[in-house]
Amino acid sequence: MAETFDADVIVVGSGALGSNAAYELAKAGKSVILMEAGVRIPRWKIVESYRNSSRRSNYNAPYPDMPWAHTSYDDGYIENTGSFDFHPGMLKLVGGTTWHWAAAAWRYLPVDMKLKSTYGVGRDWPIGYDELEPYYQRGEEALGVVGVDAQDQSGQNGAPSPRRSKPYPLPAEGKTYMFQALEAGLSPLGFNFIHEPVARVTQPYDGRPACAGNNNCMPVCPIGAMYSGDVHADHAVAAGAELLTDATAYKLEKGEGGKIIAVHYRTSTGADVRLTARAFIIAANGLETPKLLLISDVANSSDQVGRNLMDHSGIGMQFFADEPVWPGRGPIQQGGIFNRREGPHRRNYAAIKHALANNAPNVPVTDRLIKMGVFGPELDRRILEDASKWVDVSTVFEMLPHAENRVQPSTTRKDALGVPMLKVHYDIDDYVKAARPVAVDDFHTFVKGMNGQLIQISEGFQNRDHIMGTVIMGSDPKDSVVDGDCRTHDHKNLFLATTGVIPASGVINPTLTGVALAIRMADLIAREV
Amino acid sequence: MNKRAASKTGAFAAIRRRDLLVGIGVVALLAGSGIALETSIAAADSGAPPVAFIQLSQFITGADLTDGPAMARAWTQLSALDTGFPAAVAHLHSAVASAGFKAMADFLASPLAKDAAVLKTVSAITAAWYLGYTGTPGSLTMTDNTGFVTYTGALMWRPTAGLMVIPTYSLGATNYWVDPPAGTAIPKNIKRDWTGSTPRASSHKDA
Amino acid sequence: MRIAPLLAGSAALFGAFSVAHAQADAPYDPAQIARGEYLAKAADCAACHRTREDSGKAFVGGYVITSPMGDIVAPNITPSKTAGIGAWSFEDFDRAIRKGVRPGGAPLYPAMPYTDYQGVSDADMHALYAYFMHGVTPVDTIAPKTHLPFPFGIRAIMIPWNWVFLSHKPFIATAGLSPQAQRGQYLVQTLGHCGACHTPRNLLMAERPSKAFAGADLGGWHAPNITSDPISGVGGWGDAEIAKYLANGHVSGKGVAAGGMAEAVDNSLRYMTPADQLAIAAYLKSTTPIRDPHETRAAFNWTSPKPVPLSAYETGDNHKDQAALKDSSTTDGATLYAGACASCHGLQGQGSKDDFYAPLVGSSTTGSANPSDLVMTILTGVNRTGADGKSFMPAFAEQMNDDQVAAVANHVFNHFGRADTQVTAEQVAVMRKGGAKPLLVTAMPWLLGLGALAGLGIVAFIVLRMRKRA
Repeated sequence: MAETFDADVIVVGSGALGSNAAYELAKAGKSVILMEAGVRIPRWKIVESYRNSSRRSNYNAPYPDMPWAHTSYDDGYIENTGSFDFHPGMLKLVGGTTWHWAAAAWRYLPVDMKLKSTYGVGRDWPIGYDELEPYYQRGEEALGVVGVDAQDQSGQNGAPSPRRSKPYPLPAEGKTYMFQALEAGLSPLGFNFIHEPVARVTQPYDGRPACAGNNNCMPVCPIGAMYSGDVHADHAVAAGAELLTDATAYKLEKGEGGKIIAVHYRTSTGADVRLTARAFIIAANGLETPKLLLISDVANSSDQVGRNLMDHSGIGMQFFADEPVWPGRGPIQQGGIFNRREGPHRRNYAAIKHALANNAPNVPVTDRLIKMGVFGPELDRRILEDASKWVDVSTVFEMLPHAENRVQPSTTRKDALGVPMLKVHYDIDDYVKAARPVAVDDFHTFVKGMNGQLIQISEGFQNRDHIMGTVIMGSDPKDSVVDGDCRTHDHKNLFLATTGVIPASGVINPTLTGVALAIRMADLIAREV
Repeated sequence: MNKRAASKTGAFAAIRRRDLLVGIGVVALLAGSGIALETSIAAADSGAPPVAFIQLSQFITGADLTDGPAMARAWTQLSALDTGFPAAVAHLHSAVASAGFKAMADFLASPLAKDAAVLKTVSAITAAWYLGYTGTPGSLTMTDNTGFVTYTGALMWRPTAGLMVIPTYSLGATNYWVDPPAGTAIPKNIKRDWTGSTPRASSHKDA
Repeated sequence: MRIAPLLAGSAALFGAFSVAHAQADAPYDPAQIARGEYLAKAADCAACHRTREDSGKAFVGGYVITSPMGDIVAPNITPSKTAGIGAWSFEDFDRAIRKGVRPGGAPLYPAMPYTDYQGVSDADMHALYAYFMHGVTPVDTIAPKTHLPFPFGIRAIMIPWNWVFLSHKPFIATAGLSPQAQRGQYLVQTLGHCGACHTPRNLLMAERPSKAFAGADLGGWHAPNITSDPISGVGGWGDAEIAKYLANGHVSGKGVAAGGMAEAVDNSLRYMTPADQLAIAAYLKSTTPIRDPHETRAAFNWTSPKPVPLSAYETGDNHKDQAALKDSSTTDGATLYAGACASCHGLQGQGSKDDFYAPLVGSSTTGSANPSDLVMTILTGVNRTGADGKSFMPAFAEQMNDDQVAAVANHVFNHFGRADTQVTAEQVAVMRKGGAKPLLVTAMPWLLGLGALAGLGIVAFIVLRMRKRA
């Protein structure tokens, strides 16, 4: 008997990962439904909302927070039970959270993927760098990544690494003067300054203009030079996928033989719909994906769903250089100091990445001066002087997976669709805490090296919105949720496209890795359905 | 608009002589951004900002502040955040007017500027116009007590106009950021290119 | 860009390759091949005879030209013997280009601008032939055939058309023009085929000589008047400015090339020598001026912008109303302009100081009496490489509906350009579909119907006559 399905593949979540998977499958001739809890919003609208907002450093603020599609800063959305206020900035609209990111598009190093074998801590990936390498390339071409081909991205000033089979699709942008000035001051002390590969095109590419340094990557690139997931949501639709908006998945339905046979979703207008497919990809970010699995009681024979939550928690420092370095010209981020990305210290404490933030600093500079009681013409004079010398270092740490750090559906709060919201328990571990003093020591060295004046070092730790580990990848179904192909161990036709699969966090932004894995799983699914 | 409230000479005279309705505005000060002036301020009804607040704002910031709706927003929001604000404004306005300060620098040098309550008012007004919002932004939350005043017209952009970007707007072509503003002392060991670059530097000039 | 020495070198390589594949006629000459390559750029063969993909091999064809009559597919003109023109003699090549007839006698459609190419000189034809036979790499990919709907699919209808509109006269420069302007005339009237876009056409879709270069509508765009008229044409441009426009695709304070002109700059004009670019300018400045009585000043001369107050752009806080954040239905032109356009073009339409982003004030597009080009630019964007680099503007067709495009266009006309020029949402809808169809196409069903009735009438008459006799 021939079965009829609503689609060959249903993808839940239209962010960068889900949309890339949907596009690859639609291109391969499969019928695809791409499902999104939020709505579609044109770029101009988000720019308008940003400029008219009173809280421009709140990157979620220009995006609608609806009772049926909450963005993560809604006070009721995440309940935190641990010692850390885990609050990543996640969005729900067509294109997902890459509407506001800094477009960092790193590859993991081979050693990142063998953390346990090399340093005896954490877990290994069940696949190696070589298996992922061609998909990193395809992901870079999809996102329009610019980079410097022959640099040692491990930060050790060695041979170019990691290995590339082809050059970056686009050449890197020019080096900001700010980066040049800090490099001139600090590289003589042995600090290795590395260009960050970014999905921010330097010439017209795939319908996007070249970056012209509007310095607003977060919360929204006003011109679309920076990649956001809606690019591939649009490509997927053009290739034949069907996009459903205002469609929140709330249940995966199990069938015979351990297969998932349907997804149920609700809309804000009260509809409740069941859709069937041959295969399912859940791409609902690292918090919502495990939540959906837990609510549906699916894929969790290992009891690892929602556990092992990791973020690249971070700290920050601002100081004045003694000469103007001129931040606020160009893109907001283009690299940093990478010496501690790799090294034997990872046996004992976390890898550390120091990034240089290039945001126009007028708000913090002016706020500080006003609080110091500076007014009138002197205020203007000081704004210019302080802003020109302002250096902002944003530092992140590698994190290890711990079963107690977890996300679960809330037992006390539901959204307007009756779907439970989120409960998170997160404590920063000793691996990270041991690295903090090393990073702070670096901070003092930076200030001294630039003949500078320290302004402040942040207290505690900060969110960095890189959600990993919650549907952890592994070869053993007893202690992992998905295998090396991102296929759930428990259900052959259920795949997870989220950075939540990442078992070893490394210290670099995981989005490109997530896209590479999504394209890889789409290739696999296209062969199977 | 009630022009009789201010005296014909003194601190605010200069401002009155300039036609409040057609001022140079922030345009001249934000060189190159070309922000135009507002040609009328909202008709005086109840709730419209009093002349004292308008003139005091102009005095404190040294700007013409011709965006009428922004003025109204600043007034409404600052009054809502602090019930004592309207009285403090009236008090400070008359103190400045009777002291006859020619400019903000004179005021800051005077004993009046040592008064904590006065400084609180000056700080609130300065922050509203320089930062472009009132209140205190909350972190990682959707709710706080902030209110919008202005964005592109925020005076914190004034000193760095043309040198740093007002975020979302561009200063020019791709890679304008490689060179610093003219007159910058550039270290001798500066390196403009990435080590290990691909042979062509990225540029919109690639034909 | 100095083409000749560069090509002489590469032509020598091609020459070496061609020794083993020498054509029966025409011994090749590297300088002639190089000259042919330059002429092929001037004639912009690549704009149509390209592949569908941007990165395809040169002259392989397959590209679809959306004509009002239907889709016309450009054939492969590489010297491939199986898929291209490799077996063509010089006479075959010449007949196709200057007479519009293929080997075998089938007429070409005038999407191939043979009515303009008919004036190309014999020497230039030989150079072009040498280039296409010996300077282009053969590629054996056959382009799909063109199938136009009835009655345009019957190629024989071109025979009477050609009889009326094809003059078969060699090019004769106008007496009294300087040698420079005469060179420009040759380039404009033959190889450059500028009239193919810039000259309005009659009911039967032939260029109207009395209105040469007076401007014409094309697929939603309007190719403007480029006669020497100082108000309606380019009379107010300096020769050097015109030449710079041809090379770079933009001149600050005058205008920017988009749509078909961007393609012309990108594929053809930027490669021409400065002398030829100036010659074109000199010729255009000598053409018969044609004035549009509605116009009172040159399109680039609407330079008294009406400043927009900041309060029109910044309307205040909306974070308390989350539903407002997802409502993108506004048709307020200022709001749309600020969000979609100002990040590059500035809140007052001033562009960027270094001209990377074009100013909207003092632009022939925003000062035009015809709203088409501004609307089409908003809908389809700009993607152009000129001699001085790449220029790119995203397409906004998917981000705005017809009412919104009209609103933002009118905001631009009102504040930065010619306020009397306005556009409606209905007009935008037509342009989105590729513009109004010419009368010949829209009337064709009626004409066919009339023709059928006329035919029936004749048959009926004959039958009646036969009955009468019987």
